[in-house]
Amino acid sequence: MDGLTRVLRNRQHAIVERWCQDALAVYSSRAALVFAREQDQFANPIGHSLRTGTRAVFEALLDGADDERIRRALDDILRTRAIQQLAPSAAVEFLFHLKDVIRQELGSASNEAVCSHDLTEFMRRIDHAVLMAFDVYVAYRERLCELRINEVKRTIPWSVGRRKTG
Amino acid sequence: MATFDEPGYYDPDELVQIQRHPPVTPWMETPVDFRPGTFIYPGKPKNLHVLGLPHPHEWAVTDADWKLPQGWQQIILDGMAERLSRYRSFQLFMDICVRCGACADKCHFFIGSGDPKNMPVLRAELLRSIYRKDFTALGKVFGKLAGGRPLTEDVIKEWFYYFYQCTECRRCSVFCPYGIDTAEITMMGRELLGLLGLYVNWVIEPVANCYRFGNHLGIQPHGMVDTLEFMAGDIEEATGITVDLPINKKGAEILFFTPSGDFVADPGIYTCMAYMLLFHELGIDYTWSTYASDGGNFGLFTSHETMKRLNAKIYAEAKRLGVKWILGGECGHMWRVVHQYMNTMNGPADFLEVPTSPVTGTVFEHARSAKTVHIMEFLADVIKHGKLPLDPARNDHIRVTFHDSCNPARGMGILEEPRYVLRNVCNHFYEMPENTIREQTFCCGGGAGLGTDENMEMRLRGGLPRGNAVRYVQERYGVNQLAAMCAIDRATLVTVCDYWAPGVNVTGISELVANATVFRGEKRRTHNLRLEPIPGMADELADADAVLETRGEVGAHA
Repeated sequence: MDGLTRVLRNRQHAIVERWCQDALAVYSSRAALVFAREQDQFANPIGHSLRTGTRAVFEALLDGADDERIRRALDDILRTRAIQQLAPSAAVEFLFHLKDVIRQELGSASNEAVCSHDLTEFMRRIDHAVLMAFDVYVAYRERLCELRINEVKRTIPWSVGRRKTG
Repeated sequence: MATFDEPGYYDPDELVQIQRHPPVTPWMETPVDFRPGTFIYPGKPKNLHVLGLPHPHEWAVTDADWKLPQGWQQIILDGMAERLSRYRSFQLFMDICVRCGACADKCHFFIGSGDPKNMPVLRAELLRSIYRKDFTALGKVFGKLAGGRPLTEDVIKEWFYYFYQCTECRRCSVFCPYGIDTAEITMMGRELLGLLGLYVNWVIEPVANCYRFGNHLGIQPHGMVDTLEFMAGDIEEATGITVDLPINKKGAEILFFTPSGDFVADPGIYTCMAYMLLFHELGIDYTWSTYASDGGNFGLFTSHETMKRLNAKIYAEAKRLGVKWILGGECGHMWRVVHQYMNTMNGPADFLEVPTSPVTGTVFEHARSAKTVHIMEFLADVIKHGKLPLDPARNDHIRVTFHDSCNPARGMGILEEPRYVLRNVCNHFYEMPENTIREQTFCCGGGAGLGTDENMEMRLRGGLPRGNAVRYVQERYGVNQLAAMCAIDRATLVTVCDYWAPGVNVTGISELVANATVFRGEKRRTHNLRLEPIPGMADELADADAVLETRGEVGAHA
């Protein structure tokens, strides 16, 4: 993997930039433009989390990081996507796109024997990250349901609860 | 031939050709996608009957047929014509937008969802397109070319979806060079929907309750008395103090009213307890009212007429009880109603006096017209004059940030008073980033009648920018509490924080004041108003007890 890793590291900026643009395409073109343009993390949390998240995931994959680090890198993006108007498949699909982005960036180099085996291994890591993304997504969907239940519980009149326990 | 997991199976050139961008359809041709979790259930006919509102009927958001009344298009157009002539601002907002885009990325729902119809300019365009088609010469002739479109059932569905995705927070209007107020456009949109019997139940049921019982929750007078008595019991447990409970007291100096959400729901109840304790300590002559039992007014989210009907009780009760002036609790939209509409709607309150603090003698000149003062203005003045003995160290375990609630902050300009109070009762106060507070504050995502659980997914989209800023101060400064002076915030930001910044609790400001106040006659304070042990205080006491126990003097603090 060293050879491929070196190549990918050299092109990291271009890959992540392209991948981030691709990940933004899940939103309408008007929104994607805004999310790509605005750099302030508070005015544009979606764009910010995609920029930082895609970079962190890519670096974790290059480092062959453990699951925990990959999950952490994915957390913000999936937390946001879990409450957006997206099918679950659309929420995690952006990870698969990384494969194409890498192929585009490497061009003919991706067919070279020296790279192809390593590249297959790297693609496996991406597949694994997709599975983890799915876990994170589902965890946040479950959290959403839990919060809804908690909210209903909190609105049960306080004095009624007191009477039961008092 | 290589297998699928071997190099060479895929042709890289083919793979990169896939077009994944969503198909682009013009906004007028993009129908609404009613996904569960993103809309609010319809108003039940029984509630419309209570209020005498037109066309009560059973319908469901996900039904194809919303059972609109006969001649519904004419009803809408007539309603629009009436409002255009009645409200100059509405006419102006329909005509004046130049689509500069300054508002486009300022709405919290757009920022959290990426849905272009949550751009304020496009939200207004939902109405404007009908206005152009039917009320302008150009639109009548050129139709779509002039930005007009015919009024169809799909337009009504779109209105329903997006006008209940606006919290009327007015953040966009801060950035609009013309000052177009999308909140007023949303208000008009909701009023027009109401003409067809289309309301959301989370608004119209509280409104019906308020119309009959004086509060959104339908708490009857004896229930309110019970609730306040329960709170007095907990206050006694936490502080050892027995507070007075003046209710419907004729001749009291001050009528106090607050949102009814603080009577029942955690954590608002602790804010309510704090009022009782602080008024007791300050020895003011005040009264609760079981008739004017809600400062909140969901009529604001229904129609101007409904808002006026619900608010009439405030001055009526002030007159009946013979008070001198009115003091209001920590509520958001209540302040918009009270300070921007109450006097002209239900006034003049010429039977009341200009509010003067009985504690400090301060005359609240700014309230000369409405005769109503905000609790933060009142407490800031009390603290400024040193009339409240405070020990902010009691809140040392709290690292607090402050959420400017849209209506008091952006709408009313109450920016400094809550901060002054917080700095005096907490040693650890941290501001969120500049572009997320004060006039630019981000809404909780649940205001204007959106704060119901079935709408949770949408609320969390709207709550993303606020939650994101809270998480920033949580990570940077270790913030563990978010203070807000709005009952809707206290209910909805709990969920926003639990999702976006777990570990941050929500509190009212008065609760922190009461927890920091050294009350006359208090017992040794080991627990706060939530009856949670106060770190340091409880340990100290346990240590003292352990020492006594070893000396055989058990029970000194029991």
